[in-house]
Amino acid sequence: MPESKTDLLRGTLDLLILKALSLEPLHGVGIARRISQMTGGAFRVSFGSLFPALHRMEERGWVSADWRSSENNRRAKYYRLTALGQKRAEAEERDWNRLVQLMTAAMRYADPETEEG
Amino acid sequence: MLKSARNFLQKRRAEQALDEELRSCVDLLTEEKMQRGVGQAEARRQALIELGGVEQVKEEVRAVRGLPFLEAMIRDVRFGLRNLVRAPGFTVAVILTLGLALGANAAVFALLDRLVLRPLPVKEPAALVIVSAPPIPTRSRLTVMFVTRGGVKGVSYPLYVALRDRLNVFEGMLAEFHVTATVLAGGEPFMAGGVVATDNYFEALGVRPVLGRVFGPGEDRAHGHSPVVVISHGLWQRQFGGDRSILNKTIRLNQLPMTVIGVTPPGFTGTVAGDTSDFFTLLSARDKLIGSRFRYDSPDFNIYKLVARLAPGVAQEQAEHVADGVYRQLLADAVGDGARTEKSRARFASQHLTLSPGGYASNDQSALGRDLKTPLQLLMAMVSLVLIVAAGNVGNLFLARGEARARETAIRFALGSTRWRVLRQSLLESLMLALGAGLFGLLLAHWTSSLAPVLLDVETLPEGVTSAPDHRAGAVTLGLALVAGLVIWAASAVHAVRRGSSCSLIQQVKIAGRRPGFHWRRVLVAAQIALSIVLLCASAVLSRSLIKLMRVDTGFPVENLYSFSLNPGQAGYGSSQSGAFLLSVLDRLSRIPGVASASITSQLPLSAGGSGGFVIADATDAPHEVGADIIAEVGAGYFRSLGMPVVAGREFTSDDGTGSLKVALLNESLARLLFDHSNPLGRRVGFQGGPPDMQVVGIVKDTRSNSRAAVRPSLFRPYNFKEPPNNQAAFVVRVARSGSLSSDAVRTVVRGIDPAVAVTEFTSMTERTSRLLYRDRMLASVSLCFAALAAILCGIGIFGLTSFSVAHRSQEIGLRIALGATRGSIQWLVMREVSWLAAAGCAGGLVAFITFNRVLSSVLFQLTPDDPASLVVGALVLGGTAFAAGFLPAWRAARLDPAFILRQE
Repeated sequence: MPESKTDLLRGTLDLLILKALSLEPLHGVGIARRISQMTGGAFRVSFGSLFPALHRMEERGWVSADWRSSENNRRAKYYRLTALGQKRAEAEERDWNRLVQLMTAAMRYADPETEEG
Repeated sequence: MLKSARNFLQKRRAEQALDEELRSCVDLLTEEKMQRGVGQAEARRQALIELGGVEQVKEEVRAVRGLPFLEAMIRDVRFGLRNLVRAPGFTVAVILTLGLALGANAAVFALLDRLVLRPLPVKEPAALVIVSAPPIPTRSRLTVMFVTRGGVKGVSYPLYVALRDRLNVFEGMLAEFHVTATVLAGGEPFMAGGVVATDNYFEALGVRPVLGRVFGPGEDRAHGHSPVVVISHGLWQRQFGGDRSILNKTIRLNQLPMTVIGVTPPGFTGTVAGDTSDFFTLLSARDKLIGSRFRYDSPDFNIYKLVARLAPGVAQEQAEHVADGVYRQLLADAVGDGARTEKSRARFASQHLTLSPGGYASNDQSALGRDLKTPLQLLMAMVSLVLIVAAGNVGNLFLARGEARARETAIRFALGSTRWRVLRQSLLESLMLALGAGLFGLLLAHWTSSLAPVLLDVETLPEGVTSAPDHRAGAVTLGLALVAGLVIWAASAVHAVRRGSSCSLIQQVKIAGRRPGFHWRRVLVAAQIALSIVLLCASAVLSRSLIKLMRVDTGFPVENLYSFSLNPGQAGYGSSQSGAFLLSVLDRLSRIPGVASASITSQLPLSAGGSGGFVIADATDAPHEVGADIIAEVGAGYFRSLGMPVVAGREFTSDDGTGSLKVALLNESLARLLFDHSNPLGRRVGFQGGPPDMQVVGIVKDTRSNSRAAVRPSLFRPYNFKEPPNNQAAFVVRVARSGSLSSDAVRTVVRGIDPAVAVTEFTSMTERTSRLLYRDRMLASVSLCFAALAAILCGIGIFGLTSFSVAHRSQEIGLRIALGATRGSIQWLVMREVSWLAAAGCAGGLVAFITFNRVLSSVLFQLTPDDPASLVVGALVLGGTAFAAGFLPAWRAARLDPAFILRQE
């Protein structure tokens, strides 16, 4: 299985989880699959970082969890976004976009220089 | 225990949930693989690999989840305990210092609470008021008036009924009277205090029995039955072992059989703290219980205490206004019938009914509560100052320890500890120490509670009055401990963190070797000195007042004089039998070897209470009444026995009172009031409402019943052996100059005549006079203890600070010595610092004392609280303490070896 092991930036995982949950409640495996689906398979989240992140977010009240049956009639713990998590997702997304814009602008500014040199 | 269990359960539940979640995760992954056609076993293996190990994931989650609050707490407490155990000297010093101060606070508060603050164990105590009203004049010759030390005037039964029936501002109003009686209930007879009251007593107070019933409305008028009695829970337990079959049994009070109908709830001992009541019976039983020349419902028998419950929504002032209106009407009706002089009319015009709060232990009826209210409040204030001084010392210790631990704190910051964590840890340690000190203090107060009667100088405290802390005092003490812990923490820890978090580890370690926070410690010590000065000055002025009180002349020599009481009435004697009995006691007393003279009286001198009445003279103008505070009957040779000089005329002989000629003696005050400066000898006096039919045969010198009190106008009549007053008597016995009288000798004499009559209150007159000053002695001695404690704590504070300062300046000092400074100049260098501290503290303390010393005025005798001598003594004692505390470190500083010190550098 050819899978790139991009090391996720700290904080990026939170945003990805929040985005993954913004459409519908998902269980742990579902979130992992949704993230790799969202990134075209570029990111593969390890469960060793996913579960701690989920529990931390649950403790902070960004997500809430309950047990229900999965599509295959298995019981699983589903996570959903809370109102607080929704706000958090928006704020993180704004920050991320700003960062991307700034970084892009910085790259564009730096490019001609390197070409000239 | 419960909390930690719950915490444990929570943790278990979280673990189980995590377990389940991961298991379902593995299942989901396995299923996913199997859908791709992998075999079940292989799919499961791959799933586990993808998950990355169940235990590892669990560990990661646990690390993120953080400890539950209580678990973190427990960990911090454990860490704190380890810290405290690692520094046993510090821990013990803090617990001892703070514990001593808190223990003293607990003991004083327990007394103050029981005697002053605590509400009576009745329904809505705040609504209870005490009704006090001067007697309404009658036409009869003799009236009895009872005034408590709190100034509450007794009311007669008819006036009570009139007020009760006319007033609707009260929900209920009861009349009661405190009595003592010999109780015979199977075993040995014993004396007990009790209450005779109207039948609505329990109803008005809202007290329900724990066993049987209490008397109810209408029961007082139900004649013909055997009298009923309700006993206190204490008496029931002590005397009857809590036996429920006590109901309907008969006990004898002063030989009068009474049926026990109920038991009061525990803690209820009547409406007066200090006058413990163990039995409660009805007013109508009084006349049979206690022989008296007055019927209980006589209008001249003004002895009942009235307690009323305010109707809902009625304020005390409003009720007083209404009740006074009714009283004034009754008074006007009574004054109207009978010829009265202008002067007496004016006197009646100024009479008012007053109300005072009755629901608290210190209500105006309670002599002990009333006496000790101000002293105890003063002591409470003083002991809180001691606590502040102790807290100052502990704060200093904390600061010093903070310096010592600066390195540890710096390392904790460097390792990523947050400011809040470090603060929380030190707060926890402060509070743990404070609570430990609080518990130690409570134990101390408990152990020393047997000393309270010694300090209060009463032989036995009334039941329920002790300095042993109960739940109320315990709560207050632990509360105080927590506040002290918080303040100490705030003063020391905040300082450490403010410094700690802003410096790097390197700077930190360096700073730890210098002396920051030193200024703050100096301020603390100066404040301690100031507070100690306040305490020292207060105790000095109280002691000087006591010395002045002890020098006051009582008016007769109290040495070699003894007194005791007999109550033949309680042993079943009738009036005439009593007289014969008392005469034979007198006869045999004077035959005891060493006895110079003995006599009898209805009222001992130097007693606080007493019965009085209004006296008229045979003046040519309209007779005017004069209040005599004391009207006593005394036997032949009474004044000779006391050594009280008869300044004019003669004293009574055994012939007086037997013939038809009625005679009286006056003291100088009463003689002056009745006859101004004209010669009273041979003139006639009488009681209000009757003819002036007693011839004045002598004048005795004024005596003070209490060195603080004014001289009380007194009239003496010959002792009436045919009908002894209240069927009881007090004896005075003077012995030869070198001799003494033992209580056994007196008991032998009395037993020789009738073993059933008990000798009570046997005491020497010297002891009696000194006991009158118990309040002042208690204030002086206890305040002296507190001042000494504060001074010692203060000395320790100065010593610690100076030693610390010397240790940190050792290099400077070593250099100075090396450069040729003399030992004297080094000592002065250190002592100068101490002197500045002491001077600043003294100045602050003296200003504080002079500002607040008005609170002492009411307990001082012939002294203003600004008494310069006391201020000087206070300042000198503290100056001496500071000198002594600073001297040792200064001496050590002067003997430092410069070579050794400088080599250390």
